[in-house]
Amino acid sequence: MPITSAPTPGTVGPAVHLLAGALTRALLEEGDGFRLGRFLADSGDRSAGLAAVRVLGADVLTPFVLKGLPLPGEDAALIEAAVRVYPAPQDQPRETALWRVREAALVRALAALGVDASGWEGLTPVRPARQPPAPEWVPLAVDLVRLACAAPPFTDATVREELARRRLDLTRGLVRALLRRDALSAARLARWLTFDAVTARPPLLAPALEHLEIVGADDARVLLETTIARRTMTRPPA
Amino acid sequence: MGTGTRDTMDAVAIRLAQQVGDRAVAWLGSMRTGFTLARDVPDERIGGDGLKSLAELALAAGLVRREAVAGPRCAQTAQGLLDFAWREFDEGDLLYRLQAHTPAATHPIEIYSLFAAAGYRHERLDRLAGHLLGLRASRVIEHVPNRRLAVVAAATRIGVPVHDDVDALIAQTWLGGTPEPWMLDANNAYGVTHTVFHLTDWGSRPEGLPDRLQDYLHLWLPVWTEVFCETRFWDLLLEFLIVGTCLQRPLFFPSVWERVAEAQHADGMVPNGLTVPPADSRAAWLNHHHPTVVAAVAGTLAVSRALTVPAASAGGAG
Repeated sequence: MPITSAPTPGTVGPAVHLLAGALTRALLEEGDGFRLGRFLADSGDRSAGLAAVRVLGADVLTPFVLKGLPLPGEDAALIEAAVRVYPAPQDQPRETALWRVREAALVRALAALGVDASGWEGLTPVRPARQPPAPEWVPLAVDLVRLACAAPPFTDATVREELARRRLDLTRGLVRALLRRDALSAARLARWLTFDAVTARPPLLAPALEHLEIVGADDARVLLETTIARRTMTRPPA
Repeated sequence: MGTGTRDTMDAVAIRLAQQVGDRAVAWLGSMRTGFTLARDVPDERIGGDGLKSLAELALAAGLVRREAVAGPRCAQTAQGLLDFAWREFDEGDLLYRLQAHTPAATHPIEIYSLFAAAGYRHERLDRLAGHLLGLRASRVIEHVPNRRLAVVAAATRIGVPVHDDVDALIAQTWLGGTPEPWMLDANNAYGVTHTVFHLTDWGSRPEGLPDRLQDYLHLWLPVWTEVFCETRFWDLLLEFLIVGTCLQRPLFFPSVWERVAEAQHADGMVPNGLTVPPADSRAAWLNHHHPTVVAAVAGTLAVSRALTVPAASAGGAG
């Protein structure tokens, strides 16, 4: 039985899939027509739309970051509203630790687009203290799947250095996910593997991405991950 | 379910592997009548499944004897099973008759080679094997590639010269192609395990496996054991554990041994992980003797390699 990420009706899932689809189209199409505000207006359910913004984290900025486009002020305000309405969890240590990494990626991406989010209400405080990555490959892969919205193009130099020592572990995680027919996890780990794809592209990355683009074609979230991975790989080094 | 938290066989893990192997051999000993061949039919009508099961019993018993790491009771049971299997094959006469009746077949020679390795010889079958394996026909058997390697391994065990281009045969196997590792399925996984078994003669010649395939398995065997441990596919998982012991830098997966030990029944039977064993052990024999045979082999080889390979040279599970 494949592990699917089909949206569950009555949850934020459908909105997340709609937003993922809109982001994917924005990344694939030429031009600068994507507006978060327009998406939220068209989706009808503003509350679910804002929740989707929170779920996808920094990924909502990929059309701007990867295409080198300016972030409209209205869209920045919507992200700030989503953070305020849906603050990061504070009372569960493990969740909070994961959210800290997600928030750091969001803040970093916003900064790259000229928006200072450091004082936003609802953000998990980004502390400099970092947790070391899990030493074993399975827990590492599980963590990285959950942190996909901090994956390239949003990784910083420290993370890239850590990942450079864990290439095999990342690839093992990708292979495990493919064998488990978990296309979304596989796509996320493939995306992580692009962390230095310009200089050292793992040989299995290209066939894995192609596989996922075909078998994951019906899943908007899988396609968002593979599309971000492709754009990241072809992006000139910073 | 993680399989990579520990990667060396400490005393506890060795004891666990020994326990699984001992109990498996004990179960095989208590269930040996299940391996009896049908005697009320002409030789050529004896079912292939029966021949295969008895051959696998002989293989496990032969490896327990070859490795000589079992305790006295287990060793005695294994010796009894080897003698029993040889008697079932009419001390080689049945295998000779089958081979003479169907000269193009290879399974009688393959089965005989397991006994030959343990010193059980049949002179007329030796001559027939030497003759058949020297024919041009033996170089164009249309087996799946890993089965060709089984014939080469059998010839080597019997002591017959091998005329095949082994490197070319290896290149035709799934493992020899070092495929994208997520393309493994249960079918080609058994091809991988048997390619390793035949090239290394069940771990006695780890150097028989080319370096590039050793490297490939070091990369991906940890992933495959992880996935098949999660699915509790014990039969295949135990074969992967054997593969790990056949490498020059063996991989032991002690955490997997804990799962296997938990799955083994109190009477020593190891379930296949796919079907629910019936409560009656005689009824359970049909679908669960194979994983129990594999457990006997895996336990034996894990203990043997762990005791003989210096810890520093053993590979980790990643």
